[in-house]
Amino acid sequence: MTNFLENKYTKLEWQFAKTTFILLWLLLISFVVYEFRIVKQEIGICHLFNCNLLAYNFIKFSIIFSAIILSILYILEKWMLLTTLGLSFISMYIFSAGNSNGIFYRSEVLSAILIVQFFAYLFFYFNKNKPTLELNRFRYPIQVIAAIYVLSAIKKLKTTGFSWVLKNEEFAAQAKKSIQIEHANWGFDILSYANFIYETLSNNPNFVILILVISLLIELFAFVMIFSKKLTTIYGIILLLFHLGIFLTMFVYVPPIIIILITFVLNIPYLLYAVVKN
Amino acid sequence: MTCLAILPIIYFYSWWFLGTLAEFKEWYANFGIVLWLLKQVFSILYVLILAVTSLLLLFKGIKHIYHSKLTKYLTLNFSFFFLYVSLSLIIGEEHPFSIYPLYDTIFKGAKIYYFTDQNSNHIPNMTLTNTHSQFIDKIYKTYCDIENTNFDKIKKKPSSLNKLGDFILQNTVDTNTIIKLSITMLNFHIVECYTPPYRCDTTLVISKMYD
Repeated sequence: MTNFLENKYTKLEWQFAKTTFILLWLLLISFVVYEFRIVKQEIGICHLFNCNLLAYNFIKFSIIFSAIILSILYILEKWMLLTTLGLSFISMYIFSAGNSNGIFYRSEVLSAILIVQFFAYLFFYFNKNKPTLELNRFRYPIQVIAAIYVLSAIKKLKTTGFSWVLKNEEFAAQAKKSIQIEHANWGFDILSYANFIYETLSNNPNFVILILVISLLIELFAFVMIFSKKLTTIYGIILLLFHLGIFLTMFVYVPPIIIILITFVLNIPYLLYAVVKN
Repeated sequence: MTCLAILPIIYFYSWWFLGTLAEFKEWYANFGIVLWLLKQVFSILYVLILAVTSLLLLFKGIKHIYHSKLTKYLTLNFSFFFLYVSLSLIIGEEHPFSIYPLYDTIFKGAKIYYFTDQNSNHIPNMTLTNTHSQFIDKIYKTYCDIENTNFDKIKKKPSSLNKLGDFILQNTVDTNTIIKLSITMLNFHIVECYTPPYRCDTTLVISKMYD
């Protein structure tokens, strides 16, 4: 039992997780900056800072350049207090600008992860306890990840109540609509697949209700992953299957969720390294 | 002990404890004032003892909870979990906080936006506008807010449809892309979907010629 609840991360695990995380984060912010248009409605940090500045190429390149420099420092573990603070600010600024344009990547979790890492290093600054830092910089992001799933479940129960699991007909329509939108966006030949999914889900209402019950329970009990490293891995696999199911039925994928699952939750790059090494 | 001490207060509550000076004078003609003063002092002391006892009990309880292993474990492992959940529920949709409203209402109707060329071939939004349907939806909603209208009203008049189409094309389509894709006529459609049962209606919003 003690071993099952053990929480210990090696330096190599941290190195793999953070390097993959920051590289994918860089890729995502570059995409948001590239797609950026003039802000229509300010959200988040755009209330305080003018996000329309991001429309200027000079500002775009300066921010991306700063993000690259800070990412290199982050990977090299240099001046982590200032580095994580700078990365948090850039993350909040760029994603707030993207959200203000009505394109929600659900990137809040990425900024939150950088912020809690800043706190892990801040606590270390006041109390030089290396083992605590090694644990906190990994476990704080896990806490935030668990929180986003629980919040999503709370929101469902708050808006629709427990009857959310009985919306099987609406779920079939939602799946078809989501695939149709992806067809409109990218032009993939997936309309016949949309019809197939709709027919399958409409003809099996009890199966859909079961799926919805399981989905709600997975989200609601996501806090279980906080208890230990092993539980994080087990729950991570459950979440991976959960998102795979969403992708297959609705063609919906949330890039930040994929990033956090493959880095801090499952640490797939490290697992691959361990497999190759052994 | 505290619970037992409350009992006499409840017993005398409506009668003695809240009695006014006039009432005491009426009840005890000779020594009403003295009794009233004694009652006041006694009441104040009683309330004070009760308050101090309650506070001590509360403090002891908090201290016990604070020093318990469970509290230490929760503080160490769940602090940012509770903090993020609480702040997100209070603050709402303000980056980096969010309540993650992912399919909280599963389906309540939808609009899908798409473009076709002179040969009625579908042109993906990402190819033509370099953005998603969600961004076009944002432009559409901005138009409705400015004009204080909705799609049911717009659909009734071809001129209103043209005006909406022009607004959306101006804010999404780049002329260079039109030239690059050799488009001579661009059609913009809005597909409205409803449930149950799932059905969609397509409306041609605008057909624009390009030289």
